[in-house]
Amino acid sequence: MPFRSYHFHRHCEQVPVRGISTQSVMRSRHFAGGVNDKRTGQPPRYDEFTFDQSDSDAVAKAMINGHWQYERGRQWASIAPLSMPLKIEGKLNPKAVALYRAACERGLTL
Amino acid sequence: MSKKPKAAARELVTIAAEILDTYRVDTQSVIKRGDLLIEAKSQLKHGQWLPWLEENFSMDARTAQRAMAASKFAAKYDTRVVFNLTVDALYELSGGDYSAEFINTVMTEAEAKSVSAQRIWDIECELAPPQSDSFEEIEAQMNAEAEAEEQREAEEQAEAEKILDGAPPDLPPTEPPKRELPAKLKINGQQTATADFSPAAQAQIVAALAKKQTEHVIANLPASWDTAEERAEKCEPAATLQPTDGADTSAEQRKAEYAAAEQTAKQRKEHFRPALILQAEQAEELAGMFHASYQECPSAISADAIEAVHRALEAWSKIAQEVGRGTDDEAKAAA
Repeated sequence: MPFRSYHFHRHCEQVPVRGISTQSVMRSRHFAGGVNDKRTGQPPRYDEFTFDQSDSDAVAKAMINGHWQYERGRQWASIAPLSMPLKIEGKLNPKAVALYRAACERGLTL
Repeated sequence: MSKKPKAAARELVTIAAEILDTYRVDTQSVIKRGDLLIEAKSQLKHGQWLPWLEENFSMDARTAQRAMAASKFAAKYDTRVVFNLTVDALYELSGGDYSAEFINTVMTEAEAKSVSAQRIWDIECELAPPQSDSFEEIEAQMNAEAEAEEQREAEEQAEAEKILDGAPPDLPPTEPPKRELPAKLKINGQQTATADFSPAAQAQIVAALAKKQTEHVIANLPASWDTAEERAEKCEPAATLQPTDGADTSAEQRKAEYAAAEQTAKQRKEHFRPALILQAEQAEELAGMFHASYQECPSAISADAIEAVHRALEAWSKIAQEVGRGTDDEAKAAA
């Protein structure tokens, strides 16, 4: 059966979701932005992820996903020691990933 | 019939040196191409890159990516050494997942002579630890690696649990969120907007409204006004026209054109009169609000906003004179 894109109704339907790896979440620039904001004492920037009802589904999904990653970044930063970098030489710190997984298992992060 | 004298044969060393130069030119071209693509990509918005590439780059997107990666790679090292890499070697090093130590080894060799991709693979084989051929030994090695991986993961897990059991990090206090004014303000929604904000924010909203109103007035209404007047001025005035005797049809025509244009200008002024009166009334009201806000919170009003309101009042007083309402002294006093 050929793949058909699914146009959901934003007013009344749940956004279609799919599973992603921990690394995909932590590699996101919005996640890094959330970590940086939390560690520097910046207030949350949730308003940057708003979208208009006239925007396309792709834009809406990107904004929603970015919002989640940003919030996850802030949550991770609130439990990770300041000495633990998110990335080392451009690659994810394995210890940071392990901490995020452990926090998820305990239900501390989304 | 005389034969063309044969050119003197060049030395093989010279030919080899020239061949080497061609490698350098190739490498240089790739780096230059990558630089240009990076520059172009930085100016394009999300979603515009691939269409632009399809239109302006004869090769495929993957080649463009490789050229950009090569350019970024070349920027990290000495140009003289990089030019000793052949194009395939440059692509291999910039696109492959090589360690910094291995790249340094290759670059050290490239300082003395040209290095190709084949040579890179040879160096990789030379530096790789010897592998045993027997199946049991390979299996044992893989098991050892898997055990080491499991042990590392267990250590990371234990460390993560320890962090979670311990005290939270000493983060700086989060600043309270800044209440910023919405970027788009609606003239008709000013009452709703001002009701929800502090006096300082209200003053800023009124200033923003005044600025928007000014831009609207200056950009639209006077332009329409001028158009009608200019149209009348383009025609020759009736007083300069010669009395018509019926033969000079062009003079008759010009006179008719002038009369028509004058009539149109008059109609347009009448047409815009109610709108202008409404604008002037809004100006009065807005100037009053601006004055009240300024009295309450002078520090919240920027110099730009004050200048915008001045400009608005000048424009509105001019319009008020045009439509016969006279100057608005109260509005001027408020500003």
